[in-house]
Amino acid sequence: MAHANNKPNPLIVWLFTTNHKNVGILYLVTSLYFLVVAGILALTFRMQLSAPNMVFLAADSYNQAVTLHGLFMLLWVTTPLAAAFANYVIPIQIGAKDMAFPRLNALSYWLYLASGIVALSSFFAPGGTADWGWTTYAPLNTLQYSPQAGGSLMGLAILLLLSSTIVATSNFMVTIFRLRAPGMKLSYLPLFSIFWLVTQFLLLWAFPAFAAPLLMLVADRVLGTVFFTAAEGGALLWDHLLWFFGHPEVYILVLPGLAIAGDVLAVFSRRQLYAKKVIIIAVSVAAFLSYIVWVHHMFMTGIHPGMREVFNITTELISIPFGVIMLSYILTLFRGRIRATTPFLFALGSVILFIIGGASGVFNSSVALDVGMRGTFWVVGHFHYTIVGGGITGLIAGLYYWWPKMTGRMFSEKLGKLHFAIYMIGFNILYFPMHLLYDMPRRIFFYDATTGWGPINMIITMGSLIFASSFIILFINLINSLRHGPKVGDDPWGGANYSLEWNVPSPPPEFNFPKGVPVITAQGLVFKQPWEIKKGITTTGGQQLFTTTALPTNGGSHVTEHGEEHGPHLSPWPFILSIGAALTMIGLVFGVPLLLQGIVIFIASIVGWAWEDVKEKFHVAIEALGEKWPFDRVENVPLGMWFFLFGEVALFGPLFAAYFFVRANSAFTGFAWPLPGQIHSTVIGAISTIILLTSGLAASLALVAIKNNNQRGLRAGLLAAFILGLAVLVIEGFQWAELFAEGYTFGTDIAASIYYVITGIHGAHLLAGLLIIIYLLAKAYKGGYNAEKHMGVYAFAIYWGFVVGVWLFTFPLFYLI
Amino acid sequence: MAAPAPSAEIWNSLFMMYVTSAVVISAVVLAILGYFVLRYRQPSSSLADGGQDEPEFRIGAEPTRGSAKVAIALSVILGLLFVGLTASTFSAMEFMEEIPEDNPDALHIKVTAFQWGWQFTYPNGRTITGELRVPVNTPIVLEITSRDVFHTFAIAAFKVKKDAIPDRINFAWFEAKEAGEYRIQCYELCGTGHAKMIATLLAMEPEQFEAWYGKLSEEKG
Amino acid sequence: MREEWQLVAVYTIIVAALVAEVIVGSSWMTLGQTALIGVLVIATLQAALVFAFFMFGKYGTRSVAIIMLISIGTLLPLFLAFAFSIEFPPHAAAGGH
Ligand code: HEM
Ligand SMILES: [Cu+2]
Ligand SMILES: [Cu+2]
Repeated sequence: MAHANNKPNPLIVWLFTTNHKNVGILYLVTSLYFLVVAGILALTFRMQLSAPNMVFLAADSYNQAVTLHGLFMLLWVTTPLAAAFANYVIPIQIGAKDMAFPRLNALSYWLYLASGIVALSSFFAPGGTADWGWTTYAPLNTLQYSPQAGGSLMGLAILLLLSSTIVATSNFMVTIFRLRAPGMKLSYLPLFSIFWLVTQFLLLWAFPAFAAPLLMLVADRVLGTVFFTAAEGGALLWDHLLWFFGHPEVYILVLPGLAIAGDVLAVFSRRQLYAKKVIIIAVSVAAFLSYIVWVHHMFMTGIHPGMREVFNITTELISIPFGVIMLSYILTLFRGRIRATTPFLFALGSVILFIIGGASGVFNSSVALDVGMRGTFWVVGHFHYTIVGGGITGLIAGLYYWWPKMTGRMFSEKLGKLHFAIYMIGFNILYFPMHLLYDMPRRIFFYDATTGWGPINMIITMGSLIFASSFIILFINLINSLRHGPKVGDDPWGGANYSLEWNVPSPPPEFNFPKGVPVITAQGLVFKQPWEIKKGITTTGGQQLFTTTALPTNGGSHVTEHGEEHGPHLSPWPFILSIGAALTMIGLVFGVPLLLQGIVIFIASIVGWAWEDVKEKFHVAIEALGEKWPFDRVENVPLGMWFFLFGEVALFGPLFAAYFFVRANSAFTGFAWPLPGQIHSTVIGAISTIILLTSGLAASLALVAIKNNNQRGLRAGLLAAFILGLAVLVIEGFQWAELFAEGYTFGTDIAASIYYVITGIHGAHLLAGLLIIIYLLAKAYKGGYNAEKHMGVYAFAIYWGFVVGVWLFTFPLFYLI
Repeated sequence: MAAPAPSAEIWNSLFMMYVTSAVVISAVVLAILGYFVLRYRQPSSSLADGGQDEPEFRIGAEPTRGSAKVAIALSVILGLLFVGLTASTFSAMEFMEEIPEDNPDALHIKVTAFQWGWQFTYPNGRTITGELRVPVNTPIVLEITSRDVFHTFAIAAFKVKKDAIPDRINFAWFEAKEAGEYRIQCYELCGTGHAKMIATLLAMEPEQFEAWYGKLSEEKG
Repeated sequence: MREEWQLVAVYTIIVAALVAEVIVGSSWMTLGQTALIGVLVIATLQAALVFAFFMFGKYGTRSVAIIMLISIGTLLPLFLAFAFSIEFPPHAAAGGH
């Protein structure tokens, strides 16, 4: 067992780190790298568009470049850049020593990197990568119209990214809800932490909802199902599912940047945010509304006219909460003492550009105007103003703002201001004229001179070069600062009164708070030692500060009287597991040998990870002494599982919705949906259901047993749950085999497709559950659980119940009606 | 400049209405923002400006600054504005979407999108590709579908646009006011030929059209 | 022991509901629409029991149940929108109009 004092090799540290600050820096470097890649792609196709009749990129390269640009900017750049800051500063802002689950945090990063590499590698697959635009409309996305293997690889890469996100989301939820410092109420947090929490809720329900159509798409492309070619599913099935994810996604992109802008405006005008409570309400309302506006992307699809009007109105409504937020930001400056530093200027830029983008958004909400705007460069202008103008500009403000905190060194203000000037000029020359091209279709690689679009496009391309060059200044400034920047103290900006990160050294030590546990009292921030806190302090409201004493979260941590004694903060498994996952994805498209290697590495790393736990080799003291509202009574591990499962609801829900849609459509397309019992035997289905229910009962009994410290009961329950679960999986396997033998395969018809995909995904969940039981059993036999310590068993019981619950719907839909 | 079609005319005036409100509102807001920045800017960007922080600028201070009334006022203003804008939108929509199905003069044409082109089928069975000929001052009803992937049919100059979706049928209508050539183009990425998925709309004087097509009224009987 | 027996009792109820579900479902010839609704209602009740007892939702704070409900609630608009997209736009196979 390595110890903290014999320093490991730096490469090992970066590969195996689980510290939130290191992970944050990894996210930062990677997302900036992808920003450059996707930006250069944009420059290539901007070159192609600069003049009529241009020959620079061929149609196919153009389409691939646009697709990769869009997908990378949306999925691999903006949110991960925000995640870099979230990882670095949010644990500090809330007053924690690290994330709730440090290894899962590292896993999120490595899966993210792996998914990005898989996505980039798809470029070099024969025939190139996805070329259907980031929206991936059906049926252009099917093999029939886009046969290149790179397209399937891109689908898998996105799925890998989504899995990274759901892990990160559960982790952030538990961290922000349960690891806050004593006295740190949610409403005391800076906007960045609050908006990030809201963003996590959006991610929680939006990203799995995107996984559902992607799984169907990959099934179509790899297994031969017919979701997006059959008349019952097809274009509209994809459209609804994509945009159901797609609109929340745009708020996922802008909220973190806007939040940083708000914090920075407050810090640099030295005033409390104006009407912070109203801002919090407004952002929650906007988040809620974002789930009921997606049809504004489908106004031209000939949807029900009533629905069009409803979504017209909901879309307009959404500009009200954003208007309120912007107004509060502006009023924050009132009577402030403004210091126009580089972060401040970028925050200001974010607000200005977002207001312009919001104004053009109101146009898009109008069903009548959308007749003109849909599919044109107007839309491209609009969303770059909001996402890049509002979101990315805010994130750049954050980069400057936290740079001294992360590196301990200051950058050059002069270069920063120069960057800002060129950035704003370039931005507006680049994107504003796009609004004038409201007749020019987007995603065209070619236009002729008679269109008259040439001159404006030339201006836009010039703007893109100016805008891109501003980033060179940014990078020069940062690299220079790393080497020659003047060293800074804890609080170079005077933010110590605003948020916690300015009350710790720059860069902060491994566990963030060298002076003790931060405690928020009526008088402000004080630092206490853990044992002082246990004696009890009261908050402003007079209620007890903490309800529990220090609770180990990682199966056995130590908080000693003199503060910190830690196990190694390193684990190799997140890194290795991601390699396995990436190889598996590539293998799914490029053949069995790679696939097998991938699966072997994947399983080996899960075993290694589990072994680390069973032996309790990895532990980090992340005690939670403070605020946990509203989850005081749910421990970290079960709470993480709950959030994961809320996300799972958003995965299975759209799958069931797809079932409903294709089945209802079959009445109009003339497809005869199989009668009950015709294909799937009701009796066998009912038997499987009973066995699975019994397995669920066994798991619950196992939990009850260990709560009473009954070791035999625990083992017996887990073993029974395992055997019964396995039985269900075997029965299902036999059913599949039998159907296949009869010639009823993935692609037979739409009913077969949805049956195989839903039962297949459910089966994968069963399999995962069985693996978890093996781990629990191993640990149980080593005596790893007792009446006080059994959160792993608890989390599993919750998971297993969910798997049973999903089956309770699967059974009637396929076997009974 | 007169719009070449009633739909474009309506669209243009609606657009101007939105432009006016957007410009006015964002100009006011940005002006306030600019004023605050200039007014409250400290001459030096150093921290040591001698000023005193207000007591509520502190970690753990209750967020007491500001009042919800401002937000409510803004919501009411925006809400009222949106009521106006939405009413105009809906009435424009009513005109643009109200398919003149029962108008005996209307000419019904089937539009089939394919990779990569447009095929038009007239009531008499006549089918042409790449060119749509219609008489001016006659309502034209389009039945739009696709043979392969998702496309979007549009006559940008007329502000007519509708998705062409495989296995589904969409309706659109327009009326050309002035004879001339207009561009029909695809507005949804549909593959490598997307940029060149263009057809010509030829709006003709009725006599010329009949010379090309034959008598309209007889055909439709 | 109380908790164990409670779980077994809940299990028995769910299995009984399953039997009822199969009976209702198999009589769709006579019951029609009603069978469909009956089956879905029974499945929902079963799932609620699983949530409350097998997933120990009742031990969690109310916040867990609320967020679970919201998770399911976000799906409602999706189902509604799908429902309105079945006849609109018309299917080509159904002869258009
Ligand atoms: C150097 C900076 C950038 C330039 C020059 C640029 C330019 C463009 C252009 C011209 C298009 C439309 C292409 C077409 O429709 O044919 C486009 C699409 C897009 N851009 Fe950017 N962009 C830049 C940065 C960004 C950033 C930072 C983001 C987001 C964070 C972003 C997100 C998107 C998305 C989502 C699309 C849609 C892709 C698609 O149509 O599938 N862009 N960009
Ligand atoms: Cu949207
Ligand atoms: Cu096209």
